[in-house]
Amino acid sequence: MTQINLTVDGIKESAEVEPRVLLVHYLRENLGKVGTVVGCDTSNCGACTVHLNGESVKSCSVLAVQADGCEVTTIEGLSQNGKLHPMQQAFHDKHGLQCGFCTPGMIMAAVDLLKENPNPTEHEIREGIEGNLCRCTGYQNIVSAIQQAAGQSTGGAA
Amino acid sequence: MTVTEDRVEASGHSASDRQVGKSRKRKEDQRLLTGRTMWTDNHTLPGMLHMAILRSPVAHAKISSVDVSAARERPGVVAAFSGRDFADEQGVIPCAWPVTPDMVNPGHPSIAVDQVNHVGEAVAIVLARTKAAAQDALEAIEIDYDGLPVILDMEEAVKDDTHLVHSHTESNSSFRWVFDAGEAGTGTSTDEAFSNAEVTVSRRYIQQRLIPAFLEPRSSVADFQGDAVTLWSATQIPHILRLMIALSLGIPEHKVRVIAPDVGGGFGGKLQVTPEEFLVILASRRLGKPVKYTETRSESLLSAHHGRDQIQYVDIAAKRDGTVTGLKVRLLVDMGAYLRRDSEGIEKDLQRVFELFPRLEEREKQKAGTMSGGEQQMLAIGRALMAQPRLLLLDEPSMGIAPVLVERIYETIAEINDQGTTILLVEQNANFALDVSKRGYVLEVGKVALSNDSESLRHDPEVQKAYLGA
Repeated sequence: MTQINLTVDGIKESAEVEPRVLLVHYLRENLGKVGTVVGCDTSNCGACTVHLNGESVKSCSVLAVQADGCEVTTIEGLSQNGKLHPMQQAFHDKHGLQCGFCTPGMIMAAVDLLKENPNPTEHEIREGIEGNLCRCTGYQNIVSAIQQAAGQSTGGAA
Repeated sequence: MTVTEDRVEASGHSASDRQVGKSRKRKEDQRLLTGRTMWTDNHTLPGMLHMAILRSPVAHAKISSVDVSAARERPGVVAAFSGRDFADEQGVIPCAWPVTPDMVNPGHPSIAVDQVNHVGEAVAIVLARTKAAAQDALEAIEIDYDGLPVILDMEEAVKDDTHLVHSHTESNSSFRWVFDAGEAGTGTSTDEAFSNAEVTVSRRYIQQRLIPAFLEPRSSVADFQGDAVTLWSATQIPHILRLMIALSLGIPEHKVRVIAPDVGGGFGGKLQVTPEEFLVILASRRLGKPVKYTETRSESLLSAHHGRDQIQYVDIAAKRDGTVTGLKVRLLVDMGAYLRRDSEGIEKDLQRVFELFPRLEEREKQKAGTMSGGEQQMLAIGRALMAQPRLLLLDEPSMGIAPVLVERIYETIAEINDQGTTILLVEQNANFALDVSKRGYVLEVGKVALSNDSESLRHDPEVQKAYLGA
């Protein structure tokens, strides 16, 4: 067992974990942060994406011990004071989700994308979310949502 | 289904108020956007155990030996079972869709007992305090397979002198279903179109198998308490699942509760009743603890339902200008190793209902809403009987029904009772009720005014005066 200390969604956490435990399993099983989901076991789908020190990572491909001393933000820590984050609001406005299973990872990846590139082209958005799979939407409305969050005009509502 | 926020206004508004064509926001988004969704895998119950499944690495083999005892010694492991531990109680997984009456169905166990018939078939399970402990212990299970022949080509598989997947069936072919548009009246004669065709084209196509690839892996939590079970499952068919569990495991339908929480996509892949759903129920019943199973993506690709691969022979009759005048399609469809149909259960129950009410068999294709009152009453009783109840509650079955049908229904009620089903009948037609019943209670303004065996009640002067028109 290894001792880790980290901050998750603003709360200080301390735990003894097996070195092999994945960050996503630590979040879900130890902390009950079930907003972050597991969609695959091959780091293909991106549904488990969270921010590690502000950068998006697939939490199924990070060991919990690697997050020692880090600040982790999950989908549950994104909205502040009961108000949706602009990216969450944009996904709602643009119908950027259907079943919602990919949504936490998709939103966390998109927030990081705009941090790196605040004004991406549509092509850059599509490239930016290539690590996240969605089965329902066909991606068009996700792209529109990210454009809205970037302050770009996207024509009519979805 | 998408639920929208705004109510559609009544008519009589100006053009700008028109609702048709206006985009709407979804109502369910709040929890999906903020990580507050209730996926089945998010559910945790006190004392809950995690189940892991050992799956066959081979397509066709006899299980020559299986030993789970070493898995039981692993830390955190509460129990380990092979198919042999559930052979007597697991029943068969039903297929609710018999395509033709003569469909050959090999029967599908939830967990293989003596033989495996596809890669990924469940052969043993481990129940442990954590998912990791359960998965770790799978490697301690000793299992030996004696390989059986494998046929990789669908056309080879349906030849007469080939190896059988299931030795107790006569052929690898399950059923043959023919649709002729000319005969059905939805088109004209195909033969005529081909004999008059200016051009005909024939092709053979191979369509690959499809994986639905819902993003949320399948997941189920079963909590067996006493003689009743609650099942949370990532399913598209909670109501069918409930009925099928009742039929297959012999649990009365009203003792089965199925909850489909938020489901992360189905795409047809969660439209089935699956071995894993039965296994969590069987394990929970055996151990008296809630049991959760969530598949990995690899397991999903191996063992969840796939869209069938097909070999297609397509013949087209056409005019020279490209107008298609006729189409013949012959499909050879890979149905997989199992059909998941409860042949003995559902068919037997249905035959029993048809024997009791021959009128329902005559009206099999008719919509219930267009049936007469008496026929609808028969249908209601028939539906109730499909769940094999020990007790049948009937509320005024004679209400608003033609007298000749009332007589029929009462004859049948007596017959159902003779076959061993207890019946509680509420009825204002005291004559009929006392005729078929063993004991009667006379209710007056919510109180039991009289009670006795039916024969005595029938001769009771008070009853005769008030209810029997004597």
